[in-house]
Amino acid sequence: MPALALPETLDLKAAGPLKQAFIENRGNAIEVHADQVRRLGGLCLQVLLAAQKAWTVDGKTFSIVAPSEAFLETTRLFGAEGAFFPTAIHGATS
Amino acid sequence: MDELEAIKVTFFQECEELLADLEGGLLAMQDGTDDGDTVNAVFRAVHSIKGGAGAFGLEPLVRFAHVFETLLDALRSNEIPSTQDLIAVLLRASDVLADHVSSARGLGMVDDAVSAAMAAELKAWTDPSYAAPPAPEPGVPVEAAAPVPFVMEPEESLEDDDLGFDFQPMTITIDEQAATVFQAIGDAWTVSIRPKSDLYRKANETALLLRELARLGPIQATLDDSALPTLEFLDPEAAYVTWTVRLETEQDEAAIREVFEFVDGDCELEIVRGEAPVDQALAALLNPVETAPAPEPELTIAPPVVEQPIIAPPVVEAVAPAPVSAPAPAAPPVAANAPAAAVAAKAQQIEVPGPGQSVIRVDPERIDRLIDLVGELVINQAMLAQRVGEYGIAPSSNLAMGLDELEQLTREIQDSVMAIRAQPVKSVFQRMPRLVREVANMTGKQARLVMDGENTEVDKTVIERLADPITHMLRNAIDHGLETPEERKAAGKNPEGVVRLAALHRSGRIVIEVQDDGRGINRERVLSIAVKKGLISPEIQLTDEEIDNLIFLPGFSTADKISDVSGRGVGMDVVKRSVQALGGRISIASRPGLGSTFTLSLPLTLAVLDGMVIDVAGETLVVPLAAIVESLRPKAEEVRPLGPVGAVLAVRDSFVPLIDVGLTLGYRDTSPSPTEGVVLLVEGEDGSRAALVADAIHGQRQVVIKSLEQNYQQVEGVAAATILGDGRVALILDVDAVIGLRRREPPRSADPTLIAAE
Repeated sequence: MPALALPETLDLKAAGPLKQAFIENRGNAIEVHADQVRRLGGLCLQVLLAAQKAWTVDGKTFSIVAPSEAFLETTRLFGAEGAFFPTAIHGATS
Repeated sequence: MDELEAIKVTFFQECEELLADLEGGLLAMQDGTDDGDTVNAVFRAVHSIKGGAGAFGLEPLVRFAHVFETLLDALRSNEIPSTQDLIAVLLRASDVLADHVSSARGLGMVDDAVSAAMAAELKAWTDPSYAAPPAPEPGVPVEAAAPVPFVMEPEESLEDDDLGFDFQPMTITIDEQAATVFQAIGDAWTVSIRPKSDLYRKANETALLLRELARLGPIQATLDDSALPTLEFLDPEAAYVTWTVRLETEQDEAAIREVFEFVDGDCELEIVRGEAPVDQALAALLNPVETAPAPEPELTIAPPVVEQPIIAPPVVEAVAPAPVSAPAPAAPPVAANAPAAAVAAKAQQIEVPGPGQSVIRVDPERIDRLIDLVGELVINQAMLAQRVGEYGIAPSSNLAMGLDELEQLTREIQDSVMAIRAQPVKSVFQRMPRLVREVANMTGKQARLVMDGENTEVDKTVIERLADPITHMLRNAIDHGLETPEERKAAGKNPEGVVRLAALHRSGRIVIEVQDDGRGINRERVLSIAVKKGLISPEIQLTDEEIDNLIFLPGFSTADKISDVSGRGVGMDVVKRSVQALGGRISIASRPGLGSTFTLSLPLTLAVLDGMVIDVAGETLVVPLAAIVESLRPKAEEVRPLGPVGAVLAVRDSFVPLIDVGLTLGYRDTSPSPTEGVVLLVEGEDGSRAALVADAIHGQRQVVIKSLEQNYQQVEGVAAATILGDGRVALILDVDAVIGLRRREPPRSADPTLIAAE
């Protein structure tokens, strides 16, 4: 499974490259390594959300592994942890 | 926790900068050189400190900053006219704020009485009727906890809500238990945040807004990504996601709005008292045990994406990834709003300077490591060159030429790396205006500080140790140099004394000058005190310059009474010692009635040194080039015995003591005749000369300084160590210490005639 390691800082400047990285990996199940993340901004959050949706639409696995404390804390702050770390989210539609 | 600590460290770094900005801005206002934006910049500095402090729960700092900020806010909105008096108060308040920051950092304490008095003073400016001294609890008194309006009405704010559907008012009954929980916690607010793309573009961040909201009280953010396009069509730099935040706080709406002060115009904001309609949080509260299925499906107002367990109020703990099974509506209604396309920007837009794009923060340790490594590289390169030389390879060969290029490159790398660590002395200078204010206040003098050459760059190793000497010299200049305003008037001077602090580069060294326009050194008094204290013998004849330099003697203090500021008798000799420890020298020039100038000269770096490599008793030593005046081979007739053990060397009509380095450092017990060796004429920091006897001179070289204290221990007579091209460790001589050693101890040798032996 291809892995994508997130950089330390996910800010405005990281958003473009992050999107590009996801587009290049499209079509395969992906593991996103979030262990290095120290800062997660709103723009990269959007990219992650969009990527996750895209993978869901493709029916491929999208998982965030080994999130750092900062990543967890910020996603929780954003109210996005449910999107990234639920157990039964894959393939769920309504 | 590590991460939080790291963020905290960054916060304090930023505080330093913000405090500097604050002071700079206030000073500009004082001088009348401010522009319209200065007051805003000043306000922002305080506001940012307050915001960050809040995130870390630094309550005293937040409280003080709040009062300060309130006054600045009134000032920038022209509710209060800007006067010199007010700015003086603000400057003092900035000092107290700096104290609070230091205290929050664990460095020093805040004087609570001073802080409370300052807060009261600030308060009195905004509210003239305010008189009571105790530092007020900022913020508006908590409004009576009105029962939360659970019966939602189609509020105005929601009508603005261009979500593209109709809202049906809905009555929710809530069981009593949940209701009491609510009231106990405080008021609930619903804050809708719709960042615009500009928000991110200006380097602001929703996460920070949320974090700041979180410091008002527990929050639960729910994000709405219904406007988020698919990945392919996503503009990574545009804002799509919006948030609805449920906040419980005792603060009022203004406090919440304040969080968004910076992003005014770049973020649509709605603050509604009470719960959001059909908020999931509410649903969870109503039904805390079961996992709540998404409420009414037709009520699509519920932020659709994220189904997560809503934990009861103190939300921000508990990591536990959601064990929720609620089906996520994966295809949210797409009729949603495009948040960017929104209402006209609000009234006034505050341009927030983004963090300098061209500046990176680097852990100094990394740079130190780099410098160490480059030092190794230089050594290695020298070793290589030496090896090649030993093999007798022709200088015109490719190998030798390649080595030359390598040397060039190494030198350039070294220079560039040193330049990375070079910093403007500004970081030290900017602490000084405050010092001058305080000292002037304490001594009842009027002093104005003029600074020059703040951008002069010096290696970090030197910068760190500049602050103490400069502080001492400035204190001294104000306390001892400047006269009282009355005395100045009587002498026909401006009652306000001027102290000038300047930095400049001069022949590979940095020179710091502290100049005052005070009374100058009272030589008669200095001389009489020195005699009285037994520091010099009364018969001795001294030049004016020598008398001036008496103030550097340990135990000398001219203050009649011991003041708070200086005059503890530790002043100038401490300065001198710390300057000498840096390989620098200090001198004074004084003109009676016109003032004194202290001049401090220091090497630009403590990492590399130009030195003369010498051989003494089979050991290789390095003598700092800066100390060497000349080198010579003495003739027999120039060496004269002096006393039982000493000898002096006649150099151009004067005599200097001969010091055998090998003997002084204990390398040998007997000295060879000075005529067999080479003599280095050196000058100590105090200008005293001596002739060091060495066996041979190898040449001049730039060496990388390796601290002996850090790696081994301090050795008297030795300043540091270095590694030579052949891989051997060589000690760097501390010339002053060697001269001092020689003066104090008679040679260990029992035979007194050895040195003088002809």
